[in-house]
Amino acid sequence: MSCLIVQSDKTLLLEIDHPDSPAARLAIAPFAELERAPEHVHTYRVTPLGLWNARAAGHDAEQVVDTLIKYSRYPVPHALLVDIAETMDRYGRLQLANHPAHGLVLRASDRAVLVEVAKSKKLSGMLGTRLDEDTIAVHPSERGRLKQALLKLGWPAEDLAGYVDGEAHPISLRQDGWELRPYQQQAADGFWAGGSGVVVLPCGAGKTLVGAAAMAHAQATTLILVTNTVAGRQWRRELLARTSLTEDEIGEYSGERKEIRPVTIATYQVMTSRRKGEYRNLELFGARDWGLVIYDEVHLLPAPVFRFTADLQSRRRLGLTATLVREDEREGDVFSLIGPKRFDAPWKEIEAQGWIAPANCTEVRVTLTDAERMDYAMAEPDERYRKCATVRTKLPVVEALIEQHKGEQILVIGGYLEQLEQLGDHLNAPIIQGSTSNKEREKLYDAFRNGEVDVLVVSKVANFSIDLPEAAVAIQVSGTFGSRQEEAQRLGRVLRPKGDGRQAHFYTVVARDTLDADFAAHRQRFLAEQGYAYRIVDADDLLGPELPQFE
Amino acid sequence: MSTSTPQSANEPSAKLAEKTRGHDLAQHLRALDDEKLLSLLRIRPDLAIPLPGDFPALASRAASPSSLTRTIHQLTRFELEILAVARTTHRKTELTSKTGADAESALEALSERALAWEFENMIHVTAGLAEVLGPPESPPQFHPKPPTVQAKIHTNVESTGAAAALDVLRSVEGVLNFCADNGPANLRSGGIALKDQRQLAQTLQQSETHTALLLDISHSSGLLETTAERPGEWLPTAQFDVWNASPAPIQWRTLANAWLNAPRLPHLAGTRDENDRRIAALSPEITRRAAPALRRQVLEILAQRPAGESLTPTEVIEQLDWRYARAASPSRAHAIEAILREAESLGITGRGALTEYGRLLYHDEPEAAARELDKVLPPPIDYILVQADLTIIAPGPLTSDLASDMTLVADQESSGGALVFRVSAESLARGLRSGKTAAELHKLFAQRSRTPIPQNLTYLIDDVARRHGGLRLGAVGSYLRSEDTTLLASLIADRTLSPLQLRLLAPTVAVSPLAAHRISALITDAGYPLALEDTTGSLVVAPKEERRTGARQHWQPSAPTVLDEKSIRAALPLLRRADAAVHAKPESAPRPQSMEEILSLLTHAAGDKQMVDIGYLDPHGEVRSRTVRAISVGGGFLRAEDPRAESAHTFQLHRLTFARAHAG
Repeated sequence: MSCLIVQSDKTLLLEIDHPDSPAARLAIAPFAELERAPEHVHTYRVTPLGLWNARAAGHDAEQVVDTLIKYSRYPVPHALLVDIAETMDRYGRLQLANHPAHGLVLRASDRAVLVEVAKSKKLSGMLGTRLDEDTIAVHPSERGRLKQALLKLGWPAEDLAGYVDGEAHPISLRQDGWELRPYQQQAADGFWAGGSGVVVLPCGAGKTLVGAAAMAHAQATTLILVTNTVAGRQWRRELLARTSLTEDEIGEYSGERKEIRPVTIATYQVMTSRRKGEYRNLELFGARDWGLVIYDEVHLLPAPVFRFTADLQSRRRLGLTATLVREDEREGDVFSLIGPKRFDAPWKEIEAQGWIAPANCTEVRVTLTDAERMDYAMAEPDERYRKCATVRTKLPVVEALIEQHKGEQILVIGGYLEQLEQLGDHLNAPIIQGSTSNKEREKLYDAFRNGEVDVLVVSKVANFSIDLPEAAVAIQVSGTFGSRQEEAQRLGRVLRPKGDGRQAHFYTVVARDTLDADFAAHRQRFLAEQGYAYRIVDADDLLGPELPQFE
Repeated sequence: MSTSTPQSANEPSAKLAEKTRGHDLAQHLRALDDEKLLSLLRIRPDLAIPLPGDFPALASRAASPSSLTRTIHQLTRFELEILAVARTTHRKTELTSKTGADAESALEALSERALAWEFENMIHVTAGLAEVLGPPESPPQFHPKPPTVQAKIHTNVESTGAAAALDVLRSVEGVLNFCADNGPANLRSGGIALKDQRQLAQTLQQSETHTALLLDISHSSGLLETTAERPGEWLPTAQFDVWNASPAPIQWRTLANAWLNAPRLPHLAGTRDENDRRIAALSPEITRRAAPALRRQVLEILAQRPAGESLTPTEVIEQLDWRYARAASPSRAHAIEAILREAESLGITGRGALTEYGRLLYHDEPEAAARELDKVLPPPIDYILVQADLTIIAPGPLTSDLASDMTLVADQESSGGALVFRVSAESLARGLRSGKTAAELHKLFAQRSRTPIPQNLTYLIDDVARRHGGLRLGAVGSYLRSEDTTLLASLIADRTLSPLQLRLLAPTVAVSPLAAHRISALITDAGYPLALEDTTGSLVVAPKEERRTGARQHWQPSAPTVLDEKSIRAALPLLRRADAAVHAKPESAPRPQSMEEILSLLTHAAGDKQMVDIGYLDPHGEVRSRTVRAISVGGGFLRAEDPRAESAHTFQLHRLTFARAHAG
């Protein structure tokens, strides 16, 4: 019996307890994306993009088909194999290249394909004159959009047109007392050899160092785009510690500061902020002759950044991410505009990183009082979530949880001001919310970091670009996060396994039989898919039997 | 309609020249021994149905355009080439010198079909060929052998086919569940709308073409039918429930057999008809009587290869273009490609080679085919793996009881080698509604799962069960309400009212399953004062039922006209006897007339509307004679009237045994 089962919808089920599963995982990783990783059977999905990624990495259809046949427990329908082979074969029939006389050209190894795409309305205006039967001139400004359009037509082009060097700037790794792990080196080398593309590494596998190594390859000015200021500052710390770069050479381009230096770290938020419908900070892309653009967390790259990136095709681009799966299904844009996958970490390494279940997640269910139930039932539809999320019944539960974790650093996260104030009063803890001044925030964070304050009540502002300190325990009472993907990321960041091996804890306090519980169910599903262990407890179990009033 | 024209009057005599060169088909047939004659009737069964009266009648039927066309379609390319030469070349030696020695076997085949025969070293060809084949044309070259093929041997043909077979079963189940849930409308012109087909394709994650095939097979298998009203909806039949509960090989047998015998070409769905309108899936427009025969021809080509050897679609087309040369056409080539694709997706072939169970199916042994398939299908498993993200994995095909339990309490997410289900509050509620208790649900998962039950599933079951039954829905026929609780209680207690099946819902409300008009009389008769209330405010809801439509009479698999040995053997003496009878009655048939003579006489008679005596075979094969006035000859019929009976009659020409001018 083998460990892999191929489904008709081109998902692959991997039984992870099977002795062959590590080998099978290694074999399918180049062409299949891990979609769900619950405790027993992991689901991978084979998509055209995955196959083209594999093709770009030098794998051929025969290898893919052989792998499926070798590890599959049951015979694989022939049609599915044929389909895979045919899909894979579509990559690279068209190539973007530099012609000595005509500049950027689209070249075909299959003339019929060129004829087919040239007729497409989707490409109108992108293609120039026909140079010979297999070559059509392309305006350099259309390089990105053409690749996007060709991908949509199902004929992804291989981009061999090369890059500008950009403004030179010396950068080297300072490997004193540490060195790049072998897979980090491989990832950076793989990227450099491929020109542009995406490196997939799990959280905590040191993506920043791969970025640094790529910069050392490029020896040029670098623009780094990150999801938020916290991440930006982390990048800055790492670069200062691990490379020859100095404070003066690294600029922060954020809501607060607008520094443009040889290495500039900008947030997606600032890049996509608009005034009167205009993107205000676009000049950053043209501010220097960047030799390298690094996109951190590519799977979160916002749509406008894709658009800007389409115009940056002559610059080397490195995407870093833990997953290629995007919730908006714009994986195709990552492929055509940033580049194909250049490196994927072997699972063994990930295990060695101790990436499994960084936090222990618990859902605590409270039962509403009859009055609260009635109040909830009568509420207007747009009020219902607030009603159930902010019930007072949650307060004693939060209190009990804090009591359980006495002595640890605890964050209480909520979405409604009124509730935060109640909590602050009840727990006698400071509150950070939207209107809290930056100075006050810094002060409270410092106090939290050095242990003067051990419980901090924070609003949703904590989710966004503020320098939220790490905590051992987080208790969420209300407010759903926007994207589930983002939530897992944030969860992993806020709650790291502690140095002494103790696990971090994430609690969600949920009102039973309400919308609150429905949202929680969604979240649980996602957490379980991500391999987080979680469990449900009753508030009553946590609080113990009710004590007689007179005592 | 059929007025005879000078041309048509001349035609028979033109054909006469080509025809016999002195020896006619009737004589040839009469001279054949029983075995040869039997063999002819076996190869051309249309000659024996119904039985002709005598040998001239048999001969004229054999020379009729429809019968000739039918038999010529069975010829190989080489046989056609030889036939073309034989029409112009009379001496056998001359013929073989033109065509080579291979001609001998081809001549043999033509002779078996009574298309050409030897008599005194001369080659004779049957009459009527010009009408079917056009003027004789000598082929530029000869093709005595079918095109060569490249042998490609595959090892995992059986298992590949089995994978496809399982896949198609799940897809068909998906199709029928989709139809049960959505009840796609039957188009006015028949079939299913593109919108519905696309939605289905998306649900199944299959191409539109494949979806059209799945729909058509479902229909042909009697699992999918339109509801009785017109145009109606497409719904699964009750037969679907039977099918669904059957083991996989039996399910496959039903589908594969229906596919093989359906007079339909599903690949035509999505193409355009002659009015440039898109042909819908399930449309009556894709009915083709010849489809089963073509499918068998395709499988015949594959069945001739050794086990495990595959042919490419092009090779199959080339083989068929040689083997059944007359029917070669681009549209047949398309159909062959589609048939090969369909056979592969049904597991009748695997990697392009016929599977063993496909071979048995082709040989009309569907039961044996199902048994053979059962040997290669992965054995069903009786356990599942439950995970914390509330997915359930069945790492293989499930036993049917477990499969139906899972389908009841969870929603299927993907299928293939394994089945993936997802449990949700809704799916568990469905399980509870169907009568399972929370304890049974816990037990089901605990007993069947090989992995520990995640805590959140336990919670979810309890949550759903706690809410289940808090609000109840039922159907009633009528209600009685009264502020006087004693009155209602006495109604319930009254034995004379027991047929009403009254039941108290609350102290002031009683309900009965019977309709209001049926209980009012009884209650009034029993002496209770009754006031009627209008229905506003009363809730009468029928519980949701699984929607099914009745299985209706649909087409029967029309097997190609094949006579069984017994009836052929029985037919032969009848023929000889009838022939002898005709010749024993010289007064009714003074001498055997050829069809051409009969035709010529009748055409003349019809021109002047003369009275003629005719002899004809009645439906029982008895020879009868009659005197009628000939009106017209054409289209294979003699139209005539009987002046004495003042009635009009139509006679099929091929059933006439003689005709002569009426003497009186």
